[in-house]
Amino acid sequence: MNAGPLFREGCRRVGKALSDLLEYQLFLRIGGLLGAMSFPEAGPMRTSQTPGRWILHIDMDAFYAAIEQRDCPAYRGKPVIVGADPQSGRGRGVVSAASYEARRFGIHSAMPISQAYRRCPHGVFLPVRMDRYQEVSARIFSIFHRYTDLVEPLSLDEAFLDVTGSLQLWGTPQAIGRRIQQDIWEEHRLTASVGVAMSKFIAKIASDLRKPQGFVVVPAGTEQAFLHPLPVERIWGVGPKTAAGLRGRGIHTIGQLAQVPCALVTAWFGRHGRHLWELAHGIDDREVIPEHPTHSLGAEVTFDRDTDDRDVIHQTLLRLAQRVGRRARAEGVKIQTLTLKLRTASFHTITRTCSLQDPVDRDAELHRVAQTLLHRVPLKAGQKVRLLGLAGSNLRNLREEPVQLSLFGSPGPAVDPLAKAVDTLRARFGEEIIQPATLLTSRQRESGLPGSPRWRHGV
Amino acid sequence: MKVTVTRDELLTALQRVQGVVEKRNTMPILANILLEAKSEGLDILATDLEISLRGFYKATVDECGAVTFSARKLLEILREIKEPEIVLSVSETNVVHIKAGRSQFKVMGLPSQDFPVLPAIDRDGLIPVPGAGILDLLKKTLFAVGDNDTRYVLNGLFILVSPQGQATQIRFVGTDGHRLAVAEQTVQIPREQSQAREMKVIIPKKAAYEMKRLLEEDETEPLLGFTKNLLIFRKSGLVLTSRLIEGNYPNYQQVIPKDSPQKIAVQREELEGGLRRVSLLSRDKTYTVKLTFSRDHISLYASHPDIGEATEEIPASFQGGDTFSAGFNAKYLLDVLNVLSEDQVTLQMESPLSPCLIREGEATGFKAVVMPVKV
Repeated sequence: MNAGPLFREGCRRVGKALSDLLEYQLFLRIGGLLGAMSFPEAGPMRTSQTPGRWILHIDMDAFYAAIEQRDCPAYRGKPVIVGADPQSGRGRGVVSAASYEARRFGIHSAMPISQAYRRCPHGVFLPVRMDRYQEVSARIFSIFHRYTDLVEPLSLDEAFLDVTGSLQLWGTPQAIGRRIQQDIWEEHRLTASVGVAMSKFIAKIASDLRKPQGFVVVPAGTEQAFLHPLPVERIWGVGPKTAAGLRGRGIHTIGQLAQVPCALVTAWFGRHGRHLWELAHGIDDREVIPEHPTHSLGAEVTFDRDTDDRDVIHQTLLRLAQRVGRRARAEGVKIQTLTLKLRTASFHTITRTCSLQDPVDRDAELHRVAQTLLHRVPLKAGQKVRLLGLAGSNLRNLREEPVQLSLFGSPGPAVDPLAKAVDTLRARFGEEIIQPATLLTSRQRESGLPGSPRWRHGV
Repeated sequence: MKVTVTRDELLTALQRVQGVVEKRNTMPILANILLEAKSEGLDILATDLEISLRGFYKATVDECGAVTFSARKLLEILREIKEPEIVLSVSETNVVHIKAGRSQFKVMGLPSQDFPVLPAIDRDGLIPVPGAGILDLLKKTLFAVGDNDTRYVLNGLFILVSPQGQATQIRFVGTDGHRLAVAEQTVQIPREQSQAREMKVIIPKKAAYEMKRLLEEDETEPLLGFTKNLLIFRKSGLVLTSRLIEGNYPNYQQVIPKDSPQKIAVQREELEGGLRRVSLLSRDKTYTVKLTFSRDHISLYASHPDIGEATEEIPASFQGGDTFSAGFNAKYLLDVLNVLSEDQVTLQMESPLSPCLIREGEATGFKAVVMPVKV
């Protein structure tokens, strides 16, 4: 074993840590010596440069789980975990959402489903009904739009609203926030937490502070007092790694970070450091950018068991093509670029992309392209696949574009009546109500019944 | 294996196979070339399993043998080498030693047996065709061939070879479903070499591009032939083979409008320039330009919702019809005008939503059809 490089690396790290420490202590000492003299960068609190701007951050409480509990009264008051099939603890995949009852068992989103099952085997484990959540989300967002046009969605259950221009009509930002909370409850029996502040950064921290049904206002001028006692992890963009880096230097709270000179934080973390320093000072000029049209739509599946079964892979590809196609049709867009993602059992991720001449939205067309993409993935015989995904991007809204006529007649009417009928059926009765015969199991083919692969434990 | 070869000869070989070597990394070995040193020279081969190119190059062979290794690395090395001559030798472990003056490279290779085996072909059944003529047909039709169309036959060039008495007619057709180009030529083929029966094939676009590149190198006359599922193209020591696309080509003749008295004649360069200018303010991606055909001019108009608009009037003569307007993807019209050489072109169109036929002034043998857009 050659320990040379390891040893050198070790020395380098120790040396760096020492120099960082010295740097920081030197800074503290100078700070002490200079007393009241302040560093130019660490000067008095600079808040947002845009005067009088009011931002709301609205975050739905345990959104997916709350929808399930609302839709099915039997789940209310019970720990509901939405995500992958736990398969009595052997399941793979992760938790997508956990109700507040489930959170009491220490379950949170992104936790492996197997772990969630161990913590709460009697919980109600439900599959993700993304279409349902999207539908509810669209209605919630329409409430936001009653109060302002400047709505920036962060995900299905979270958005920034710039209400500066709406104050004349609706009064104070607090009033708007309360009304939105109330509308959501009255119309949908769902709860949301609201943060009100003069910047996106502070509004987001505020909404997160007293979940569920939180309502936190940070009045102008009190940002510093609000931010400084909070731990550095609260800063947007401070993950476990950066947090450890800060704590290693004796910085635990946002206030402590704000006292370090900007140049030093920049030296530690590069450009990201400068951004963190600004946020610690409450400086955040980012504007609320109203909803941009969808840029991509995708679907992916992690197999219950890694597989090299060509039939399973091909059937999954067809399911994915159907899901992507259905979403494209629902959004009224056609897909010009299709990307296939495949993760092998050894966690090696391979993607293949194809830009089409003519954008498509039909399942069969998407499936055909997906198949050619799959052909281009170098899979050795017996190599197992863990995950398969399909995503459409470069979306074209053909309703807004002139129609290029075809020489050989278009492959069918602009809206495929079959696809439309199938989409309608699925929207009403669920994904499995109608399937191509190739996707039925042999048992289903014999019985003539579509299967119901829902997992409902503990009900 | 040990060979001495000039840098220029090897560089030519590597540049030729660039288009063939697989870049998508489906099978790593397809990024390689196969080098085979035979007593009379060096055979260099590349394939992507769909098309392959084999070339024979002058070299002094001290020891016969074969190896396969990265085409890109060799090309990069050759580009940097200034020495006129290089020596390639291969060790038993398939390490390729490249020696050029004071530089030495060792590149990891693989045994030649690992390289895919290509279909054997023979000289029989190949017909001599005029190189310049084929090049012209390719230039006039390739632009219309589809790119990644879900109807995969449209991603190929349709070739028809039909004997007509003493002569043989060769017709190339390209279409992507929105526009179509047909070019044909009648060639004289010595009787003993001509084929008695008509042949219809669809060749991949990539193969057509490689053919075009090889024809552009020099004037040497090529040989062309087809087996059941293969295109064979030979030219001065090079053999290009390609799998044919299976399937039925659409009935292209049906969509070419019949000759109509309603004709617009216009100077090609004027229309081309006008379209280029006006389309600067057309919508992104769709390049929509509105053409209004009047008795003595065509007016062009484009507008972009966020930027602005542009117009231009081009002198033209319009016979036998009332003024009307039609929208077009300017790029489709420009692609056609770009491959033509006559000064005057004629457009024929019945109504705003019917196909537009474009021909060269007096010349026959070329027809393009462009479908309009519904604005």
